[in-house]
Amino acid sequence: MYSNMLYMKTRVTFRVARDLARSLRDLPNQTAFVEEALRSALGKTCPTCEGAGRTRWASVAVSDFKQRALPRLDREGAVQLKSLVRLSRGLAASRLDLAARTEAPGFDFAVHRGRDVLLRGTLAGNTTTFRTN
Amino acid sequence: MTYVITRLCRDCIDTSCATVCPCPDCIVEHRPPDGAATLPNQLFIKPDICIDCGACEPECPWEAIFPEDDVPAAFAADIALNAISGSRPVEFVEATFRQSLKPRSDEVDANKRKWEQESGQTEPPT
Repeated sequence: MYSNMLYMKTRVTFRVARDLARSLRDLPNQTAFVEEALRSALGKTCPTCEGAGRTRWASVAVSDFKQRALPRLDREGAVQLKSLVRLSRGLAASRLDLAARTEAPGFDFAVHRGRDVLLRGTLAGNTTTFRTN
Repeated sequence: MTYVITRLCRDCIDTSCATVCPCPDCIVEHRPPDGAATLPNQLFIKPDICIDCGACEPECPWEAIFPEDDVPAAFAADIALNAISGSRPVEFVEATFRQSLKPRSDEVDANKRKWEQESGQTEPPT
């Protein structure tokens, strides 16, 4: 079955070496392969969706306070965390991990997209501090 | 375990809880796209989104929010009612900001008594 998107694309013809043409013909989805290779070479692959057109993550999974035995959130902390969750969504993050700080009140956090850590920092009172990796 | 909004919230919706909730889609109201709401006029907590942070509980002026394990027996049916928001997400929208006048303590107590009586279970006096 053909995707509707196929009909919105423009046909391009180009010459390649015979061995490369043979390899290309053996590929199950030539259009997607060439398109991906072109985008990648031109540096146009979207960093958040990786060229898929939509992010892989449905929503940001935030650490469960009970499971992690985190201290209860006060009003200021909750509002700070809300901003951080919105920021994480804007970054198409997949996970927001929280850990209680041992030396001071507040939480250390890490925003992940898949295996990558996008941001680290600390939530304390009405202050959010970001750390570079 | 998550937090649960009980029937003590009904018809007197104040969205202070949604203001502090860190997860934007967690506290919702029933607004089905095709027609009128068939569930009670109150807020609900989506159990699959709630992160158990407990920030909402002290914010509710009607003391309607409880941890799932501590929901009074008279309001136990509300646990399943909140769970509907997770199983039928298209019918629910993020609670829009509304803030009502804070009730007096006697009004809060009267509301509790009213719903306990309606549920047929009044807690023994202490």
